[in-house]
Amino acid sequence: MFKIKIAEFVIEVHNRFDFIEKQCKDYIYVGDECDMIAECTLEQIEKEKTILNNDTIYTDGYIESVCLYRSICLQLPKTDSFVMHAAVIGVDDKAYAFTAKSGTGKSTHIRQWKKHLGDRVYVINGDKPILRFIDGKLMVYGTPWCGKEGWNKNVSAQLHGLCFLERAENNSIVPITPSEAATPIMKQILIPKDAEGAIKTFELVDKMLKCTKLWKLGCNISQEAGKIAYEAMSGGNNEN
Amino acid sequence: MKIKDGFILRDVGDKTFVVATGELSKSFNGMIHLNETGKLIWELLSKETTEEDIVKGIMEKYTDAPIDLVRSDVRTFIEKIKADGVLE
Repeated sequence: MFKIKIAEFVIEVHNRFDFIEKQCKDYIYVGDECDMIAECTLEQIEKEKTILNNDTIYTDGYIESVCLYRSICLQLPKTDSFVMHAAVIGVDDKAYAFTAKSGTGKSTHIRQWKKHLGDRVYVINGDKPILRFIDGKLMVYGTPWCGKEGWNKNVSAQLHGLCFLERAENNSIVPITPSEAATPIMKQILIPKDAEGAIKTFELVDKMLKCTKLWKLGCNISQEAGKIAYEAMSGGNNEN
Repeated sequence: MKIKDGFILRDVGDKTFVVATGELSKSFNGMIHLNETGKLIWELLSKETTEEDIVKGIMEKYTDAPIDLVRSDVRTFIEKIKADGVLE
């Protein structure tokens, strides 16, 4: 058992395997506080094994970690926060989120931002960041659950734009409306199975779409994609 | 007829979504997207009602809609959600 601090929550982690403690090394918290408990049953671990792709062999420790993060994520909506399947980068204290089906090229696109902007770009979380409303601002937080590249940083930044990525022959970026974003974004959100958590999640996502600048980027693998996306997304200010 | 307890309906960015919660979520996976009329039918079905009353409910809101078309759309919708196990 150990404690971590992510998204400004102190979480007591009830683990059986060492894997997760190493994974969380940058997020360890020592102190008496506790906002929530992350726990899972052996049955949940066994069930998760049957869900995960059979092409790769995962250790029990890895699978336990997946289950414990889910335990955390399902508790979040009650506290004005939620998890989203997206890659989020920070540039000059502003966060930019990219979402797409797995395999579309989120990581490739992030590398293009890095090539274009260099050290100003840092990845907050490459796969499953936590978003939290604090004083009316939508903040994005790094977490140690961050996809196969292991891209994460224990930092936070205000979300400045949310971009839906699609592969295209030519690079182009256009603003979209909350209505256009609603259906694709709901595919990237974990919805708790309890009524209160589910209702709260819908409310938070609706609030995010209304206070965030939304974009659709058609992109190829050239570095130009990073340049045009940054130039469009970095302008102006959100309402949040 | 009536929709099973446990479904929740919410709008996100002017689109309407339904998910199953609690016990019902064990047997009903995924998410339903509803258009404007689908949302109205769903809301009417949250209390015990009949196919004819649903048609009436829609005609009250869309007064100049052709009633035969409304009847046929309501029937199609009800058959679809019945097959999906949404109704009690």
